Amino acid sequence: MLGEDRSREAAIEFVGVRKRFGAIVAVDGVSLTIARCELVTFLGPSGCGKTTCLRLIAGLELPSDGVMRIAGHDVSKDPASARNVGMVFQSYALFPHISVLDNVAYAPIIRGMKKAEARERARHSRSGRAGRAR
Amino acid sequence: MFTDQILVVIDDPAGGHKLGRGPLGDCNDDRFVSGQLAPCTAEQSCKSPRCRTVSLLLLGLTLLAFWLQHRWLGRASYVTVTGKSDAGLHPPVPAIIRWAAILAVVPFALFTVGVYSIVVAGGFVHDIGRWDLTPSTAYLWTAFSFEVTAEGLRLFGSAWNSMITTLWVSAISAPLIMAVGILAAWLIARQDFVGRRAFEFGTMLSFAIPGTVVGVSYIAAFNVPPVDITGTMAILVICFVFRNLPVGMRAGLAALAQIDRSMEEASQTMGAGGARTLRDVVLPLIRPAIFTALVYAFVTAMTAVSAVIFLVSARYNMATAYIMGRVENGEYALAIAYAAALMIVMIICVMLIQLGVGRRRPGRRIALQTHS
Repeated sequence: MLGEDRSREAAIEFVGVRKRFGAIVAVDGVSLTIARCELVTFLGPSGCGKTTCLRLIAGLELPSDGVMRIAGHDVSKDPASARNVGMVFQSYALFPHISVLDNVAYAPIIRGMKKAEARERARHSRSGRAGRAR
Repeated sequence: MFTDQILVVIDDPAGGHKLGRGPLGDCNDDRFVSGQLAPCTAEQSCKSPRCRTVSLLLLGLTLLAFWLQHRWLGRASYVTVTGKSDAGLHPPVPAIIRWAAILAVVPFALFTVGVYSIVVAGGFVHDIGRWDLTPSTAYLWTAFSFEVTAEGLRLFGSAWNSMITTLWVSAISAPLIMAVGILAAWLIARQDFVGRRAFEFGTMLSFAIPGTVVGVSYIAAFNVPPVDITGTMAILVICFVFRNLPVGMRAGLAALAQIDRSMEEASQTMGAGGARTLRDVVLPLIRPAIFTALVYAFVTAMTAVSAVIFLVSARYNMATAYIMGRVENGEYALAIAYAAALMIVMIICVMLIQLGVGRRRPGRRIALQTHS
């Protein structure tokens, strides 16, 4: 791997990905390659499968057919918790029962950081500073 | 006869605090109120054709309620707790609705307070029935006399045995009902598996059968080896757990319907598995449902009459069966004194549960609204 030009490596790859919800086909055979550091916009009318594509990448849905790769690994059957993909939800999905600081510190704690250290780092992050901890 | 018992068990998505209602076909307190026996109560054989017909009818009504609920509430969204920073203030309640609600609630509340006051007062006077209001703790003392000796506390009162059993049964079954019920709700609402609808329906069935039928069935089923548990405390706990599980589950389902799923998904994308998400995100947000399930399970275990009539034994008697026994012997004063003590104990227990579970704090907006 070392010495290779990582910027050309495909970060996300769809090969004939299809997603069905019962009789409805939400994503019908999408094949696309997104390179590392490439910025991609999905544009289309409502109900055309934009969100489903994002949810497939995040692992919140698993494809009915086809193969999905992230950084070269086949993740077609991996759950969201095993993928290391971030997603901003339409409803933000911030946890209303904990403080802003704990919202920021949540992910590092899940990933195994000590609670005190995660909170300390969250305090110095931009989002942690912006929100006043309760 | 049982029109008053036909209460549809519908999820109440807006009211996480509501306590569950009596199940279809439970005879509970009718007996004292009407002076008559409900179709399937203690002294009547549950093998009689009439009783079987009634049971089938009640089961049919439950099926109907289940079907109606899925038709009405199946696809609608009831999300109120989202991860959005601000959902805004709710519009104020129109005056006419406010007054209608007050008119409906106040008389009901007064009636309830009246009934409770009579019982509590009755426990501490000589004979409330004949309006002999001489203060007296004689009956209370008969039931709950004790002595502190060198060897420690000694309980002499005739009611201690049943009171302690009742407290134990309630304290064991309530957390079980809450835990299994909420977990089942989470499985049904958030996980996809084969037979999910059948599982949901199956959990409702134990709620649909009259309590007395449950009691007789338990005796018939668990009176012979390998499962010979008739007359033990275990059979009481098992009976309550299975009977009240649907309430814990329904409370959980109603609460989960209010919570935006994207918060759990966000937790997953950050690397948290199902169990972690349940612990850190879901459970804190459905605290009202946990409280509801615990209180309902606890209070029902302390006040249920129907099934326990068959399941109590001399060694493991329950408060309600004891009170009924006193009434049958004509010892109303003792029964009312015990009922007063039971109510006070129950209020204390509910307050302790509230203290233990705590309140949900889904943001500052609610605090602002109530303080302004």
